[in-house]
Amino acid sequence: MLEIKKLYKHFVLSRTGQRGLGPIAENRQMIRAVDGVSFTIDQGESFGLVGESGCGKTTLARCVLRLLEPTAGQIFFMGKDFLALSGVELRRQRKRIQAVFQDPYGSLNPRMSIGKIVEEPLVIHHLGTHRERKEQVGELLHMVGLDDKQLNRYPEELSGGQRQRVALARALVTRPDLLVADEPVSSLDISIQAQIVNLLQTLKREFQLTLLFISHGLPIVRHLCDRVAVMCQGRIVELTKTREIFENPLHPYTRELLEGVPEPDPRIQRREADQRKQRPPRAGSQSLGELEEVAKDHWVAGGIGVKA
Amino acid sequence: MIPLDSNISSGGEFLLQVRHLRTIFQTEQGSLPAVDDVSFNVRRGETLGVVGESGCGKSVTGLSILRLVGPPGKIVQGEVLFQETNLRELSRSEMRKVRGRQIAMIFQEPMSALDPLMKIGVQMIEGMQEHLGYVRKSAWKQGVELLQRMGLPQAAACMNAYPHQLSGGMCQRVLIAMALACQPQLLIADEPATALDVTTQARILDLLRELKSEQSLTMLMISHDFGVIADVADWVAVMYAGQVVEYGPAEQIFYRPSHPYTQRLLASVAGIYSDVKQEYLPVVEGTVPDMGALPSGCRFHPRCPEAEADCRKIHPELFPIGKEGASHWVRCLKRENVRVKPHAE
Ligand SMILES: Nc1ncnc2c1ncn2[C@@H]1O[C@H](COP(=O)(O)OP(=O)(O)OP(=O)(O)O)[C@@H](O)[C@H]1O
Ligand SMILES: Nc1ncnc2c1ncn2[C@@H]1O[C@H](COP(=O)(O)OP(=O)(O)OP(=O)(O)O)[C@@H](O)[C@H]1O
Ligand SMILES: [Mg+2]
Ligand SMILES: [Mg+2]
Repeated sequence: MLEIKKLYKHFVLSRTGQRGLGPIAENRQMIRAVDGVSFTIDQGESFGLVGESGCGKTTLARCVLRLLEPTAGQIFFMGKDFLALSGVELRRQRKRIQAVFQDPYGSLNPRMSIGKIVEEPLVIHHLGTHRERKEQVGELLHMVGLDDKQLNRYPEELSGGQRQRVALARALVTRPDLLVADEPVSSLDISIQAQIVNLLQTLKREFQLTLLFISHGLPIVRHLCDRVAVMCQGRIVELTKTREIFENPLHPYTRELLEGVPEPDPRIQRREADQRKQRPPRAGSQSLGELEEVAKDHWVAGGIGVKA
Repeated sequence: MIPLDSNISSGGEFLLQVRHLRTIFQTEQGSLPAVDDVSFNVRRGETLGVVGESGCGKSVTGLSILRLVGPPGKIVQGEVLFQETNLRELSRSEMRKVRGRQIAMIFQEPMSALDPLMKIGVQMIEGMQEHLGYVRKSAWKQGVELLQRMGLPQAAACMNAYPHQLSGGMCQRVLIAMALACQPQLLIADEPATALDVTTQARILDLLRELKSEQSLTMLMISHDFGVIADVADWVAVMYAGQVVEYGPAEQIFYRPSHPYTQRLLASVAGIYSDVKQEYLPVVEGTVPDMGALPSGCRFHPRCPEAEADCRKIHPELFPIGKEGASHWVRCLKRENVRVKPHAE
């Protein structure tokens, strides 16, 4: 359904403060935010993307949504070259992809009421009559756990988590085929996180919703996703079924990432904290070579896990 | 209500005491009590974790302490005692001196909390120049160092970047660094770790713990993440619909929760953290009531499996339970049987 091939996105920062020194090329700093990423997501699959803060997850998501032009690489959506689309065709395909962004406040129009915000995508794409639209909006707000009374509120009158749910309702209202969700549950309380996970499971089952799910919340990823890709410094270092990742992680970076999940238990955490103090700081460099299939459907970077 | 401190026995001075705080929002639907009769104490060098469902008033509580609630919001009742000074009585300029210097806050939604048009570095050094009297150069240097401690690679380059050039987690770390820059005595951290991976998160939590033991940093830690709360909190306050419904030492709340809401919340936490992959997770049934349409009696009763006729009529107060001096408080009629009896006089 979604195929990403050798995608690159580099940002060039001009290093102020040193302007005028040396040739231009040296004066610029390149950030390889996404550095040669390939993967495919099947229809109806939930694909998790996890990794250190700043490793390029959001940048990748923005490329998939065509909010950023990738430096190089290809993206196929439903078999079509997504980056080559334009005009009517692009708009038609875009309707089928919706997104929830990491910063819910920044992505909601502050001058629109909640009801209008959620309804807007339906209006833009001319879907349904006025009545039908209102019904759909009400239904979705209910599904994400918001009250009808909040329809007439404005984003700034809501709490952080309420805003995040408005963004989610807005993304789901057109019944997209693909949902790109960047930290969609991070500022929600546990019970509502669970509720959203359940909602996404239902959508997946009933409407074959495909999901690209970016999150630091590993416990949630474990329940929701079918496959998980671990990203590190712009590259994927491990990609396999969720169960494999959690039970048999091969790349040292993945192991480190999984080990640190804090448990909701004060005694365990206190012990953990003491142990962390004694542990040596982690090795800085990671092996970031090409992905190799070391077991069926289990891909690891840089020759790790290929036991002699 | 009995003042909360009446039977907290162990020693230590209270740095922050919030008493009967009430903050309302005046809207077309009437006045919404976002924070309604909230009381708690935080001892110097200790951390109070604040948990509770989305929309229950956690952020507004934090903002009210610093008097940062803007219209249509208003603090209408209560006291906020910081080192015995009632912050509500300070003049604006006195309050400005407290903010950032003595009490710092890490705001929720890090990307919106930063000024998009200003370089990170310029935003970082502002406070240090104003409160600590640093010259630009040393403040800048200090800023770079702080960002390094947050685990930001290329901290010097970050200082020269604009917020949109940083990732969500990087912005969040910038905010944490800014809050710590003037070495505040009290840190109000509103969801400070939501955009961080667990490795970075552990690093930040370790740093906070270090500041806590070395400089007696006191914290109000607002978080949905029970792992984070378990890691740093000495005390936990559970909020529901604008009120504290349970309050006590962290271990009590985690291992012996008493309020039906806390119990269900923790069941839901256990579901999410379990190693067994479940398709559907346990949730607290029902939705949080809108502040404009609070139910009668106990605010949790429509969702409470233990609710009885009385719960629909009587609004319970927060009272101490368990052994005398255990400092465990709950707001639930069904727990009257374990209530610490007031001394007969
Ligand atoms: N517009 C931009 N200009 C320059 N650099 C950028 C820009 N956007 C992102 N970057 C850089 O690209 C890198 C990856 O950022 P990205 O937002 O993709 O990370 P992320 O994986 O989403 O992290 P987080 O988990 O913290 O949100 C970072 O080093 C960031 O500074
Ligand atoms: N400016 C405002 N006008 C009207 N109501 C408001 C305003 N700001 C907040 N509220 C309401 O106050 C209540 C408490 O909000 P608050 O931001 O404190 O919640 P929270 O506990 O921090 O939730 P979250 O975990 O989602 O951040 C919410 O129900 C919200 O709708
Ligand atoms: Mg991101
Ligand atoms: Mg909040």
